[in-house]
Amino acid sequence: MPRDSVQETFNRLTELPGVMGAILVDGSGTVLRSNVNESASQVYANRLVQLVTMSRDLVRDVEPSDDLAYVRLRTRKQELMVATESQHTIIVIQDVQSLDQTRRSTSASARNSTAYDRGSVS
Amino acid sequence: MSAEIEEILKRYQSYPNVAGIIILDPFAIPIKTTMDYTLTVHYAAVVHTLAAKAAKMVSSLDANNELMTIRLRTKQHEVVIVPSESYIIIVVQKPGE
Repeated sequence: MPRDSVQETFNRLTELPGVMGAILVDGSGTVLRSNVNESASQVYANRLVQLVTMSRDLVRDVEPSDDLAYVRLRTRKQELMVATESQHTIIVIQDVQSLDQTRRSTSASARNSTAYDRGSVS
Repeated sequence: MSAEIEEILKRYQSYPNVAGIIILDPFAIPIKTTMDYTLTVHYAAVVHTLAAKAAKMVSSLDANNELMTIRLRTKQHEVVIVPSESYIIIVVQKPGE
């Protein structure tokens, strides 16, 4: 993929609503692009690449014909979206409030996405 | 306790395209499932490890933060994992939602 379009795609990602950080990691765990400070980027990269590998193994283990598309970790403060394509991993950190707002405005997906949040299904 | 579990089951069954629901106790023992036994046990074993690792990762990145749900989107399904103190709930959905 030509460098310009990687940068372009990356820039587009960071402009999405509520994106607090975006980190692009290569196959060896090196941070290629990030709009978060270097040490934090590397920490996120190391942990999340491990997690996504574990997730992919889980998926293949349960159903060998299936494959992982992405992992979304919803925490109290943020949502971490981790996707892998060939050798690269992209991590997007999004603010929960902006995300929920966007989803509410496309109400069909909101019914599904936010409802699993323990806070709202008590 | 079983009334609470029935309620959880009912709640998630009303969601679109649910292919199966598994409720595990904190030790990953299945206490309720709508899927076949082998698949349930399989999911229980792998999800438990993943959920524990993810939760630890979240609190290591920020001690004041807490993992709420994990969503694994695959080509064929979406697996939602809701860990809590009393249970680990796994919901498998078909795509198209």
